Amino acid sequence: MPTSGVTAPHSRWAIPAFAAALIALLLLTAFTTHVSTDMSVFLPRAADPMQRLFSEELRSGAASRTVLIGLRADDRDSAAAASDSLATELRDQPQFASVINGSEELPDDVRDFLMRYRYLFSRHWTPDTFSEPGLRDALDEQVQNLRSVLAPMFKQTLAADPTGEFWSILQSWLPPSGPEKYNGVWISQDEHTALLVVQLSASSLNLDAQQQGLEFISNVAAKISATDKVQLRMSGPPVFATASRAEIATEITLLSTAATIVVMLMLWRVYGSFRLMLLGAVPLLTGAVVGTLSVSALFGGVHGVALAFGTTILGIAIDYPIHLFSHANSEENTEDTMRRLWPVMLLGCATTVIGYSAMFFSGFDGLSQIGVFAAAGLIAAALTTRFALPMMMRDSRPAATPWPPSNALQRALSALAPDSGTMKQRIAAGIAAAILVVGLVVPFPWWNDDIQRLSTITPEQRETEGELRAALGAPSVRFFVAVRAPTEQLALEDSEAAMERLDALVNTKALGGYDAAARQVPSFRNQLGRQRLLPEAMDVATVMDRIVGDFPFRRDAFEPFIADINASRLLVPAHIDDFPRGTLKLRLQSLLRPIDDDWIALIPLHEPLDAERIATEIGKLNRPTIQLLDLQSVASTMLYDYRVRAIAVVAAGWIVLWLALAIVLHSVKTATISTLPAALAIALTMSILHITGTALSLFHCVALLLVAGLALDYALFFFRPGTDTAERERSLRAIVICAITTAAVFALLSLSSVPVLRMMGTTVTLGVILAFAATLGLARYARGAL
Amino acid sequence: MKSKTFVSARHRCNGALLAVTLACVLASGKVMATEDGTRAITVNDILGALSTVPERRDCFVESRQSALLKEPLKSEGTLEFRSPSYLEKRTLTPELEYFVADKESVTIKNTKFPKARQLKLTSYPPLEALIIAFRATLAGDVAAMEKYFEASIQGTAAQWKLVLLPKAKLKKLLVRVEVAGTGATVREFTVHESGGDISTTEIVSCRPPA
Repeated sequence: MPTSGVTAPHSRWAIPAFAAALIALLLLTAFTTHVSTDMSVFLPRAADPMQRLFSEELRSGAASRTVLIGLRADDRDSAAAASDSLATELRDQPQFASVINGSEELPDDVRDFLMRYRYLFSRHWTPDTFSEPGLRDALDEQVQNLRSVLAPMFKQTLAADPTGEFWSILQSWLPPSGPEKYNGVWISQDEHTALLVVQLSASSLNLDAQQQGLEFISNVAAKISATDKVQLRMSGPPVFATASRAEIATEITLLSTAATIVVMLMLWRVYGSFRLMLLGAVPLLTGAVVGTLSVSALFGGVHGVALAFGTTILGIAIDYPIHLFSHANSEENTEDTMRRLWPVMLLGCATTVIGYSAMFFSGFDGLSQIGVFAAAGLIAAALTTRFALPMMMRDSRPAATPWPPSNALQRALSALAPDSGTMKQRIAAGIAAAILVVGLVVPFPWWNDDIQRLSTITPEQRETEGELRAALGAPSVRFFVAVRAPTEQLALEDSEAAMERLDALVNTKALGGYDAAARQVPSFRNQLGRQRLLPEAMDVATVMDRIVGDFPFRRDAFEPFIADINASRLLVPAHIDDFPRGTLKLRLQSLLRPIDDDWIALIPLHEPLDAERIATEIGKLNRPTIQLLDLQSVASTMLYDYRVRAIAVVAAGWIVLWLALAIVLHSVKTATISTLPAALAIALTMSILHITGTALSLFHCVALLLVAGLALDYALFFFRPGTDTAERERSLRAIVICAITTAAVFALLSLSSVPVLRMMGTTVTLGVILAFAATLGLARYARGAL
Repeated sequence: MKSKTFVSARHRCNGALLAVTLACVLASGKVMATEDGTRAITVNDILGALSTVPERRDCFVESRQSALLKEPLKSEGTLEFRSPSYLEKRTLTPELEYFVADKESVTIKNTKFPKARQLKLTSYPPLEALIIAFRATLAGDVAAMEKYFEASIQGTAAQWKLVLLPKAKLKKLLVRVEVAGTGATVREFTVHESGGDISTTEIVSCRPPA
């Protein structure tokens, strides 16, 4: 080792300096990185306003802040008492925007508001209501009401509202299938579970705050349970989001620790050197730190899923030190070995980085983050391998008896020679062809863009959600009627048109019910129309004078009624802003809001609902701006749009890459043959997944991109021209070890309970095995070309 | 049809009468004690006496006075009670109405709801409170009464007046409920509503129509 004396002074300082820098960066990363888990970043930036609305709804809408709570106790008295205690305690906290447990009464200001505008709001009265027969009927009914058990309640509005408009408005507001009450609070059908709906102040963008809110609820429930045993059940988007964040974090830690141990042990076994084993981790660590910092710098934080994906993708950076270690030999200086390998390594790295850069331009924040993380991390890992590792290795070499043993590799190499066309290879080619053909023939759907597949919601969580939602009579989270119009008033008017149709559906039981802003505050046009239909107060007074004597009422009993008719004729129609402040107004504002230059009115629907009939009925309006919206299909359309675009971008990326290779290698043929294993590996992986009934998703595309990068790397190293037998053995050893480590790491990942990670794990494990096989299988043609 | 109901009602009344008389005799012992100055009657004494009657079937005459009405609004019918929680009120004049509160379910049938409407009592606290004022008194059920009212008693066992003051939110609707009775017999319910309206339900034994 003649040159070791020269490198030694460098390395003496290099190692501590590098280690210190790395530790500093690690600390920086750990303390400054904000990890988010808002799944909506995995939705494309929406093109159309409906999609935008949907993304916004997911990100910060009322739904994303709503927690459904069930308090189960042995008997209903304890359950109701617990509900009261919990609600009282939560209502004092600013972190809860609203706490509803059924005990709420209509606030006095809302009551007064509705009383004032009742003739402009109520859809109950017609001009006939104020005719003599109409008023006679009304008074008849009021006499009956006064005789009934409920007289004390009816009596309150009787003098001012004999035709019952106020009651009819209230009636229309009642949730169609709300829960029963016990002791004034909501209770489930079996009377063991008190029900509450809590809105957190924090949106899903601030998951830490949401988690604090949920923990607060748990603590209060635990405190209540100490004296009166109750069991708390919670559901809703905040619960899912925080649970999935915790799960992803745990799994990343667990799996990456396991993967690190497996890879390290493998390196130790293969190279028989403790020092090399440790050094193998250095490029990875550098890459992870640089990747995280780059994403943080660009996006202001890292998404948990992007971190998980990025780290797993970065796992392939272990290939760089493997190449270096495998090619190091006693005949040359480590620095020289590295210099020799560098062009190929750089080419492999550059092409992979090009692939991941395509993701950066995806218009999909989550994927952009993965792309940036992987690209920056891989570059950092390659540069670390190039400039830091040789110094750190000094004269460390793999053990004299490396694994796999030389004779095995030499046997394999001779079997791969162009002139050794064996039966085995023909069979392999035949099997590959058969897989491709069967893949094309099998009639399973190729793609599935259902976003639900990405979610980490467990079946138990989903069940709790379903039970609580049904018990509360909460509206469907999937179906809405959405109305889009250029102005707020037009949105209300169109809502009113839709409501007529929906009312018909409610009457025929095709729909449980609906909520609409236009029901709480109708459009100006509607209010003015009703106002014009109101009779003159004098005329009503004349009729009342004539008929009141036939009833047991005093002659002057209905003076407030006449006065209110008169006042209603002079009212300026109410605007949503006039609605008294409070929970009801917030709800109203969430149902009607501006988006871009338009206004959108959302009409949530209540189960049971017959989506097909609703769509038909809404379709009859013949207005494309009013439609039945199935959020699940909106999400799927978005994913579909993106997937198509992503594939186009990746395909374009590959053409660029192929061109780049052709230019660098000065040969179209070499470029083609080098990309062939990648193409074959992808085609085979897709076919096998397809044959086994796995519908592909966007995330399979990400995994396949990784497979393509690996295959290209193998091909570039193995097909390298101008190598002797000893070097070819070293290259083969390098890719064998690369393939085994990658397969091992991703096989571990396929054990994950997080669907995206599992999906990634299986796809890459399968892909890397096929990429390795394709590289070896095609080597004979490459040899001729190179 | 109408008269048949009354006849059968009278027969059952006779059965209940024995129990009522018995309760009266038992209660009168306590009256003596009170007059001796040894002990005043308590809510529990009266409710205890009332609770000994498992079934009642009587007629009622109801009258409502209100600022809105030029003359009291009257109605009549039958009232049936079975301990502890079945209360049936059939209004016969001036208009037919059938009202049953059985445990926690309420059924109403009248010209407005010809198809019998079912309600869950616990979901409508004001209605529940009004029903409880009647039902818990007749059943002598202290616990049920305490959910909505604070009860106090005046008078003697032979001539008592139970005063029910509503708790919390109910005060918006009700000022107080008074129940007057003799021994184990309830004679009259008077509901004083907020706004000055008074509704009186007089319990009378059923007589065949004149």
